[in-house]
Amino acid sequence: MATIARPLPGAMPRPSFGRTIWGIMTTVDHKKIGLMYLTTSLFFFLVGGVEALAIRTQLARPDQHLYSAETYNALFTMHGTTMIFLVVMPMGVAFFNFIVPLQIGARDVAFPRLNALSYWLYLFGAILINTGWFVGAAPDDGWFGYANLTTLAYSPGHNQDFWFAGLQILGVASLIGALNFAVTILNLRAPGMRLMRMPVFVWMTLVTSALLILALPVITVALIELMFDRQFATNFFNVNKGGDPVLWQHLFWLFGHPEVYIMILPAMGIVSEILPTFSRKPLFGYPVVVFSGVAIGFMSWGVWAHHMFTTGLGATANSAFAVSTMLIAVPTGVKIFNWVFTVWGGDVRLKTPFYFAIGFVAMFIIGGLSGVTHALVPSDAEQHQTYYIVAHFHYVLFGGAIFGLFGGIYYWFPKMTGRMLSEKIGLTHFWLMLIGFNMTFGPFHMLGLDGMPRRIYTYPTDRGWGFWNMVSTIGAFTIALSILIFLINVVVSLRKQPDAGEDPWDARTLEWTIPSPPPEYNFAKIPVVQARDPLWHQKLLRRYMAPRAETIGEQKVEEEPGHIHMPSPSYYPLITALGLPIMMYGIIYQSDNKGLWGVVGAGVIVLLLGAFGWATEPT
Amino acid sequence: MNEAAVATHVEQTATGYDNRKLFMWIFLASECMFFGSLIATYLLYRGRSIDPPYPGNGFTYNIPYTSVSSFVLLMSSLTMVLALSAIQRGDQRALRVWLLATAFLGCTFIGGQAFEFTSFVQKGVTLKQNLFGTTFFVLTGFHGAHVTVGVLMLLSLFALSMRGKLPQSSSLNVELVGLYWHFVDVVWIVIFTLIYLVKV
Amino acid sequence: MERPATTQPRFPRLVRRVEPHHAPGQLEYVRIAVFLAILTALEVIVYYPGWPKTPKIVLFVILAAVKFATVAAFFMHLKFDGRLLAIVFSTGMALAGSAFLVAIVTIHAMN
Repeated sequence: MATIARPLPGAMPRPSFGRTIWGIMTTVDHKKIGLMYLTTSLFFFLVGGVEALAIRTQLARPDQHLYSAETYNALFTMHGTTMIFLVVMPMGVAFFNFIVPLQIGARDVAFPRLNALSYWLYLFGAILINTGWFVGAAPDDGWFGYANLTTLAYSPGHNQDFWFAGLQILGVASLIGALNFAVTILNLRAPGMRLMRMPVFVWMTLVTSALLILALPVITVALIELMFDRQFATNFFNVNKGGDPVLWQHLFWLFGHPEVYIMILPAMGIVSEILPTFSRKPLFGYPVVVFSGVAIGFMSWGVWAHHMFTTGLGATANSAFAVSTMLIAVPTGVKIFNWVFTVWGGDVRLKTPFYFAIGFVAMFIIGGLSGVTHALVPSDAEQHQTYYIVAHFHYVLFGGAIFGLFGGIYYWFPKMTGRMLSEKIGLTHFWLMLIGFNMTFGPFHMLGLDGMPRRIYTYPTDRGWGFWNMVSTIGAFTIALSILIFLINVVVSLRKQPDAGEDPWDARTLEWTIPSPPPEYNFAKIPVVQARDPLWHQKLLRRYMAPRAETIGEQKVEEEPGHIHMPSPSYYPLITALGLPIMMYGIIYQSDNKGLWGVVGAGVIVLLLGAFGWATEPT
Repeated sequence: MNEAAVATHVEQTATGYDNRKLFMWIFLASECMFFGSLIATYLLYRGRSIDPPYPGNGFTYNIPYTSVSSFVLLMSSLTMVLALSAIQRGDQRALRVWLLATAFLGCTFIGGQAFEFTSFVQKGVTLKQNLFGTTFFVLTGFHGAHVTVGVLMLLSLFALSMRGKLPQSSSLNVELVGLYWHFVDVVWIVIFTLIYLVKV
Repeated sequence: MERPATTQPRFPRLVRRVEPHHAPGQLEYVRIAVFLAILTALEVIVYYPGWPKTPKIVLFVILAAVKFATVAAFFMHLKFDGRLLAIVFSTGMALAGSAFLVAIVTIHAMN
């Protein structure tokens, strides 16, 4: 156990490159891990973005052949896989990591070393799934990996091996993270932080974790079945032996639909933090927003087959799932109204995070409405496999999730780094991204209704799709420019912006009661929470009952700084995590050379050594 | 850091449950979905094999044999809970006896499963032969892997106890392994019923 | 400074703690195991006679459910450990049961 002492000025070891790297490799601090998640996911956002630009360039004009159709398949597969599993999900986790312990008044997560393990597994899974690019076998069967297209008979290369192996590791990473956050939120709340006083972002983290915990095993099993089919010649999806590819669709979407909410709920939580702060009004209908979030979580389990309306499930199943899908729009709509009423009549301050939050609400409404049109089975039959669907999910995942997550970056950047992001550059980023986004994905509605199929490599001139495709491509490069401006903003702001101070936004929640960036132990004294929006409550008390208020929020002195016990750094999470990708590379290549089972064995040994060191390490 | 500081650093959690215990239960909820997916796959493909042998076409389960191994696993839950009861009383000797007994019963179950697998292969049921072989071996194989992990954890507990590193105050370690062990047992109750007993 | 072994929950409504001496003793555990053994024997007995299919299946499912519940409640201490854990575990069980039932019915309806 490490004891954190307040560092004396000048007593800090001089930071060197080696020490920094070692610090990153062994850290178990939730804030550092949060930043590692954030930077890694932003890196993959650029990777996925470059893939998107390559797709848009190819589609900019009719009859283009800039690169091969096979490469095109790999590009759209990896674009989807990257953006979903390597960007949106981990960026949400970045905020869970950095913000949740601060918002519930905790010093770290419940299992700091498991938290580090999650990050390393995420990184290794991301590297593994991208290995395909370097060996000329990038996954190329779509992010949904429909069997039996992905079985050995139809995908003979190693492409889909990288896909299932990478996703399997990413799944383990997410599962461990979700278990950690569920326990953290339930168990580490500060005194007085009752469930119905928790910030909505914490609530949404809890719901997201619950969804992950219950949904990931399903995709794990689906991937295991695919792996066995590919590597050990089993028959799960082998039609010749009676296997049923529709099973894959069920398992995949049983995971895949909760997954949609896993991606959007964190953004909804972030927006629910931003809007009240910048409207200077408590969130309108807090309990209703919370219960809507929980209701969305529950209902997300009863709608999966709407991804399969054209599979031929039969009228009864289609009708039942159409109704449940329309029903899930209700709690979502309730949330939208609550956000609008939060801003309504508020003392609005038009800062960048607020713009992004409003952008989220507006774009998500468009995506939500086009989503309801797919709930109607006959209408869906028309739209299925067209760009209209692509328009819908980019409006909810880019217009929704990504706008919300960028809002979170602008909102919490001062807390994370101690510097404000520049407002001027930030607004340029916002408007360019909003315009570029609508230019890119708005035309997809028209193209889709005009019959342009998804995932096509190119299209003939006489279809008349050229104009909107060109508009869309220009939009995509506009988004790229806006992201470049964002990166410039980060670099410039870190150098030039003034100190943010503890509470630059006059905010409501506990993370703004401590210095920016927070000390390693977060809270010198564990706060006592007496109301929802505890910091606002405290500020009001200070204003109106000045003398007595000094003690509010810090009645219980737990430990003085200097005697706060924080978990020690550990390199065992890294070692343990290393075992899995080694095993997976072995499994991928054992079909070429049985001797590589030795690599699998080596991976198991690394894993066991890591786990053994972990278990016996003094904490 | 002095001793008093350590002593006062007892985890006080918001729900009153130890972090690790809550973690284990939530993990078990997750495992329900894991085995649920595998069992659902088996049930879906029941009777849809094309090539024999499969139940109903040239193959029958050996019910008496599997009943015995199911019974062995069921009784290992008893020895497990007795081990927990022993460490909670502070009875290290009884703890070791029951831990070993549980691990032994677990090994018996796995041995029985290995024998069963071999006999199935001799009857022509393999992983590749048909849907029945595929779904049966993957489902029961993953269950067997869970039992194996459980046995490893039980043996680790036994080793800790022998080295005097499993005092009464760390009975939670035994409790956690116990929760996992009982879960693996109840999953087998479901598998035994739905896969072996129920004939459609 | 010694603290009691059981920590006080900050939010007691979620927890129903039972003092250790209320948990079953060794003898009771053995009794429960005997009960479980009898149920297992019943399963084997029911398996053989040529009863009609449906009641047999129903009986098997009921016996398995009773065994499952007994192990969860007593051996896993769910009965004594308060509500939250029971809620967590039953959520997993209920979801696994219902979601896969719907999935299987949907696929069967297709064929």
